[in-house]
Amino acid sequence: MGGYSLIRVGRLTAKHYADHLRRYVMFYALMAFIPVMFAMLTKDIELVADMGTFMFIVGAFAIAPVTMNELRGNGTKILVNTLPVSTAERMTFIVLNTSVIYSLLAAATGFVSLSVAMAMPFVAGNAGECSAEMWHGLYGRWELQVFVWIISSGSVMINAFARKRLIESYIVAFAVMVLLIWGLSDAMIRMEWHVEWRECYEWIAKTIYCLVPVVLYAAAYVVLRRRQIKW
Amino acid sequence: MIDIKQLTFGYSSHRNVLTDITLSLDGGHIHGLLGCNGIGKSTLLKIICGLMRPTAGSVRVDGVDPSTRRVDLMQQMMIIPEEFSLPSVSLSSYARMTAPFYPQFSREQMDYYCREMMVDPAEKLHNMSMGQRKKAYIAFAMACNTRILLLDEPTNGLDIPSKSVFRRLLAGYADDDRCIVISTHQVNDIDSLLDNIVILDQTGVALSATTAEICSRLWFGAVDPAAAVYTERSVLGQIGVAPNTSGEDSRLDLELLFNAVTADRESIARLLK
Repeated sequence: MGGYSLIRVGRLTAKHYADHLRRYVMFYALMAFIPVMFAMLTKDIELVADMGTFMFIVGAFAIAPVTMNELRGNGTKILVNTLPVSTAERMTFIVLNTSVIYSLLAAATGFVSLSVAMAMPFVAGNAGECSAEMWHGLYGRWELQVFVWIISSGSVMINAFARKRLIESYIVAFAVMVLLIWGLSDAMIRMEWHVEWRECYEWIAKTIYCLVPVVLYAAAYVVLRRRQIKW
Repeated sequence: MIDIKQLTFGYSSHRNVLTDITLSLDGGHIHGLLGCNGIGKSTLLKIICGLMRPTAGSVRVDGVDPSTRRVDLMQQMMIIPEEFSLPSVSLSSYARMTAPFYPQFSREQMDYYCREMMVDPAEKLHNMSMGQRKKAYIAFAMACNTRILLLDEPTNGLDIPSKSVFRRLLAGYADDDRCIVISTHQVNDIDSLLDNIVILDQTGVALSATTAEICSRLWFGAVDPAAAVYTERSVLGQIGVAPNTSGEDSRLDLELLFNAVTADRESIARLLK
């Protein structure tokens, strides 16, 4: 049957980056440039870390459409969609590209921004402290990594559901998320069970938190398999 | 090789594009898929290569449902769509990254096809004209040596010399094991290549017959209107389709055949039975 092959996943990743190298260079260059620009404007190196966090989260929304764009074309993307790779192999590539590869490249981009900002004589601040803060407060924090993966997996899910109206789908998903958070916090305040719950069941909350991206990626895989979205 | 049974497909639940298609496309033939605009020829090719699932009925390629996207099946199938987008790289780079997915790919063959079609593999695909890009992709697709080759309007955008080169290369590509399906409106570009004709209409398969069967039973050209099944005016006078009573094979005129089937499919089907 051909089975599942990690070699094919590797080939698909290599082909994807070769085909879209310019797009990825633009994407990560933008992620590096914006924090540097803010550091230059405010002459404050510490802003690089804050803007780095912001770009890391915003980039997590954008990485899924960048990864899945080649599957969405109406007719013209047939060549990519008919490549001999199974849905599971393609999904593995999507998961890797929107989680591990994205986190690594975004972290590298963040440190490039910092290095560039440090090299500018008119930008003030302690570069060493900023670098440590960047690692301990941003890329080295597992909570933030998981949070970013929740965003990117949610974004993959939206891309799997939405065939044509991607922007509208993001708006609907955002509205649903806001309503959910609002409803949950309202319920917690009314029922006064937030303090005890957090203390007693923190490990459950952490496990669920870590499982959210796994569940979202799995759901996206099921949706793509069932709906056969042009691949 | 490709078995389609009672296939129905619609992009929305209100309107079907394909209705009750039953068809068998065997290896060792070049099949011509003809039909009016919007009849679902391209859609049928997409269903065969597993990009879409039929609403009802079934498609089996070598006994396998293509929508399961089995890798071993997809390695044996290649589609050349009418319109496609390619990355902004050279054909050589594209082949280097894409060919590993196709075990039978031959770089020597691709270079040969490129030479024959006068395409430079080192040139960036985005810098090429539409016709050049199409020829470049045809060269790559044929070099993949898949057993099933699906072509959607392959001659659109090709200049006159390239059309004859394409015909020659495709004739050389065909063998006893390969199933080639060409969907086209440009029947004059490929009529000499086809050895099986499938015509689709709103009600399903209007005609499916080999060119040998058609030429032995139907006469194309100047005909007696009283005996003809279909006639039309041309610059050469009254031409049409009539039963072949001469005992000699006539030369297949696909345009006439298509018009005759569109006008009166029952009579043509009766004569071919």
